[in-house]
Amino acid sequence: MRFTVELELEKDRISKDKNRIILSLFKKAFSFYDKKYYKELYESKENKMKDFTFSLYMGSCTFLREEILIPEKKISLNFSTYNNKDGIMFYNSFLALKSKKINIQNNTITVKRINMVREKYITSNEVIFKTLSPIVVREHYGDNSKTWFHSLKDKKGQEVFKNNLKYQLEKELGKEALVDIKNIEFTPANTMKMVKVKNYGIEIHSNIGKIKIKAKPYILDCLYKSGASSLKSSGFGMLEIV
Amino acid sequence: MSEKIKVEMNDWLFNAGIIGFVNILEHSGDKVEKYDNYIEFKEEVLDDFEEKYFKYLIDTYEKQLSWNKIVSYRPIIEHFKEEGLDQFNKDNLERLNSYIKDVKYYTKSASYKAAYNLIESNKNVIELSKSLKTIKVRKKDTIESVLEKVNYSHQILEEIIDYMDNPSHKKYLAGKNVIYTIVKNSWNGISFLNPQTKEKNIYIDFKEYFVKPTTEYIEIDKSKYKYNCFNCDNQIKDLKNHYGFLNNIGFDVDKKASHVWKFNNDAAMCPICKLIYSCTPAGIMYVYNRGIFINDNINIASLINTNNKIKYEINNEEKISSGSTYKALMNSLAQKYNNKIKYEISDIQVIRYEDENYRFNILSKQMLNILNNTSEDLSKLINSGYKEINTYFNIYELVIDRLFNNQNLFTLVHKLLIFKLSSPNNCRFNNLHIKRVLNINKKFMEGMGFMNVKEKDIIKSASGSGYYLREKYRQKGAVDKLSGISYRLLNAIKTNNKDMFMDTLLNCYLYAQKSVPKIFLDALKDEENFKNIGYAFVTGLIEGKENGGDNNAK
Ligand SMILES: [Zn+2]
Repeated sequence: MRFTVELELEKDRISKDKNRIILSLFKKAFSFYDKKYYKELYESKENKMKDFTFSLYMGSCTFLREEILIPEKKISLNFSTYNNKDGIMFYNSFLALKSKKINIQNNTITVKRINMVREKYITSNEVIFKTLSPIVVREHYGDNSKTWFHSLKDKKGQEVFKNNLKYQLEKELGKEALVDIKNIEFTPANTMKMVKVKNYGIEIHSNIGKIKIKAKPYILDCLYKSGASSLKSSGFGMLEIV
Repeated sequence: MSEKIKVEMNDWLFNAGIIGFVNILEHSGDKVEKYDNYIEFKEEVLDDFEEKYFKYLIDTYEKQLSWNKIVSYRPIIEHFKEEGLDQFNKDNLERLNSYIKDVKYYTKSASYKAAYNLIESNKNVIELSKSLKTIKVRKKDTIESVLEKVNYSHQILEEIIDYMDNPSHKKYLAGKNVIYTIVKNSWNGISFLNPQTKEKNIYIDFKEYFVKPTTEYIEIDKSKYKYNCFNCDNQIKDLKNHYGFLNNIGFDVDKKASHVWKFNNDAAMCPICKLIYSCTPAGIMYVYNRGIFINDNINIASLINTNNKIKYEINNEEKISSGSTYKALMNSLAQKYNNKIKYEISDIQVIRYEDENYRFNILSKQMLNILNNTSEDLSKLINSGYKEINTYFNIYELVIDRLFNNQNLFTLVHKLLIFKLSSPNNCRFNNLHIKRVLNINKKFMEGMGFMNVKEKDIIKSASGSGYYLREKYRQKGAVDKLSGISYRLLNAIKTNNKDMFMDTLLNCYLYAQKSVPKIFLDALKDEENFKNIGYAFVTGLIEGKENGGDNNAK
């Protein structure tokens, strides 16, 4: 399920660490609508993987040193999930928040319209995706001290990406899908590039652009709906079909 | 004095014959001793057995006979005889005309003609009925103008009724009726049902064909006979009495092997068994061309008790229709169930005769429990149905049929909803009936262990959600959109496509700007919940509450 939610800002500036703001909004919405569900998502297990992803569209914005300037004072929040329950909960939670003024950091956000986006139906074994939010290719070891962020354009990065997908898809689709997951192939476009995104105070190197992925349609469908690779439920890896 | 004759229980059809035999004798005041799995009787009870046979059948099935159609008009004629024709109106005339048509039709039919030949009387009924004519009132005229004709018709009709109702006539007229409406369902081709039979008197024919060979057989020394009765193993002289006269001996799952044997040429029976088999029309309860028999064979007494309950139920119906068999069956099962302590309940074999075939079902203890738990919902479905290509289907029967075969009701619910959407004029049911079907289905699935028993009433809650969403659409003046949406939802449920269902559902709630009820989170759990909740939701969505209550709630 895919939704677009129009958010209205009181002031035209928000922090560059924008995903953090949106995550607070998510948490406010979910805990307001259903505490149990909120706890399931954010308190039961640390870093619980979620079947959803999101991205932001900020119109003609300007990136300043510490902030983003949004003259229209509007953000479109795109939300996508592979899991119908999350879809229903997202919709219900944001509907419950609609027209309420939410104070986050030094701004006030109001949820305006909620729209459902018609999803595309994948039947082929090959799809070209475009990133709606950057793909994070993260390699990290047990303790958080050693974390590397890779480019999809080098070999090491591609290997890590594949592992990230394997980890994610096995959780989402179950062990039955393992054989098909192993057979995933992908080709990043030449135009793909690295960007730095501020996330919870640190700079994350991530990838934007187009990527061609070959896999069974149900795997592609899962990536399309739930996002790809690391940190997707924090606003990374949301894909659109080109 | 001769010793008593013993007949033991066997397969269901023979058991039906035993019950019939006992019913026939007891109806005439004869004594039969009943033991757990056999009966005993004295040879004398076979005196005039043919009279007892027909008497029982005529008395039991009287309401279904054309003979009864003719004589049951008598009170109306008597009423007008006493009151005069002052109050005779158009409705009375219409009824009279249709009655005249019936009388003319029956009185000249072959089986009636055959019966006249057995009756000693100088009345010529055919001539009498020829003189009867339906009465028309010309446009310009009033009903008074035909009263004389009415009076005349009444006189003729009374004469005909007197003739029919005379006990020594009735035995042949109604006897012929009973042969063709009832006995023929059980057996055919021999004795009075043999088209080439030389004996025209049905009583004598039955006596000669069934009773006499039996008494002779009882008396005779059988020790030198080299064959054995396939049914009771008694010695028999030859293999003449085969099983061919019994109609459609269906394949009873349990006894399949033995039935295969009966088709073999060397399977023959003794005259006693043949006589017993001839009594099956008195054991199986028929309503026109449908029959029912519960092979509750724990012992003879319970076999009789259970099946006579069916007979009682059917004959106490105000208006007997072929659907009466189902209702009577369910009531009989319910009574049986309630009379027993739970652990005593055991599997029951139910045999239904429909479309000239026997259908067998074994109702497990589990299923009897389910039927008992759903009896209230079931009873509300009795008058609900729909018409499809000129055939009327009764939902009550469709539900029972599926349950007996251990099938869930989802395809039926689907069909009902599609029908409601596509041809509401052919539907004699509303959303409350569908909810009843869903309730029964849920209990069935829980009872069979296909679904966990939940505290929550998901059917009520989901159909309520459908209703409230419909209300919202009504407020927005968009009720028209709901039929397309319903089709889409039904298609998603049928194909078990949760994504499509949820997508459509969310679009609806988004349009209504309402939150999605949490009951739908349950629908995501498994297929059973999804279908139950989905169908219940569409049920509420399609009709809402505006179409009033349960038609049959009375
Ligand atoms: Zn025998």
